[in-house]
Amino acid sequence: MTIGGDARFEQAPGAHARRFEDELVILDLAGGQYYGLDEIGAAIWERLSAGRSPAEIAHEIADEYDAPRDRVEADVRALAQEMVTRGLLIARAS
Amino acid sequence: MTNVVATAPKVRWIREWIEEGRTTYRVGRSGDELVAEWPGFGALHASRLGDRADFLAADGADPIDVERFRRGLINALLRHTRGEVTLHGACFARGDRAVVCVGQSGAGKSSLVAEACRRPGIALVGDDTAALTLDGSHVIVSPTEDFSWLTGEALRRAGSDADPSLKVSVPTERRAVGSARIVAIVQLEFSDEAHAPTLRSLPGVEAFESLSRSLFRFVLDEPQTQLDDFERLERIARSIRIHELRRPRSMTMMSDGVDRVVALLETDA
Repeated sequence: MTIGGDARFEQAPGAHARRFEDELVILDLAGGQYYGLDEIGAAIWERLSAGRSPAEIAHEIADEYDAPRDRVEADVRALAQEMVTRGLLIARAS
Repeated sequence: MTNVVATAPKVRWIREWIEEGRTTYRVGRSGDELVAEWPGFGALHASRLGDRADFLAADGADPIDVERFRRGLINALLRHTRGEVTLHGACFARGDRAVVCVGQSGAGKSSLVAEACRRPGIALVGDDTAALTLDGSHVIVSPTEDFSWLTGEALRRAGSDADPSLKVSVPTERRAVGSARIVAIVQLEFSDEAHAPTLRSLPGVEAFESLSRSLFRFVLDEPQTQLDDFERLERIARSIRIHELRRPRSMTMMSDGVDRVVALLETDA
């Protein structure tokens, strides 16, 4: 499955996230595993799980962190792909 | 005529820990019972609420090790069935303030805490387990053990002729008599690159990982218990500063490392 720039997601029912300072820990109830995300990963996760698309998120984060938008979007899509593979995010039907 | 033979329900193993291709520990369920097994050493069967528990030692298991298990690890696993938090760590206190040292086996938790207990006013709270109670924004630790288990290697450095490959129980000179508030948790690491002990405060995810690795868990397959564990670890991480102490293996640096950790009784209070 390839994640497009306009894809949208929701948090899987078994995924529970909590903030630890600027970072984030996600508990996956299905596997009993914890996943940690750094500050930028946390910002991306919160926007992906709120239903924003990789293209929209890249636009915002590129401005906030003064980074090239293409690269940020590739990173957002890669993170979304990994979260879907691990069962933490579910792709919404377009 | 038909013979009816009662058989124990088969154990459904939920998680196994494997070292060098060999299972060293596994946790599962047998009917309604929780089961923890250390192959070659013994097995614990307990009711889900922890009110009934039976540890059966394997033939040849060292009785001293078995007693140590009962006081420490088994008690910690049963506490988890009751929704209580126990960390794998050694703990000391001065007055009403305590510091818990966590880290992998061999990280020097017992040795550092035993050394700290030689300092004025410091008492042993626990050598291998730290029994926590969450009380509002405070985290309280209660005494669990009155022996330090030191490696023969550590004792030889102190002039003993103990076998370096053994762990030996040494009664502490001072045992904490009451509970104390935890002011800091310190993850101990040995580092070949470190020339002197260095202490740093662990940021968010690293602090959580350190706590999560140290938590004794017996109930692994219930979503609500996983969520409760998550919530309790979050509360602890928000209430207490968590540090990492990296230090060289050299015992000549031991005292410096102890100084840094003991100082947290004041600075993190």
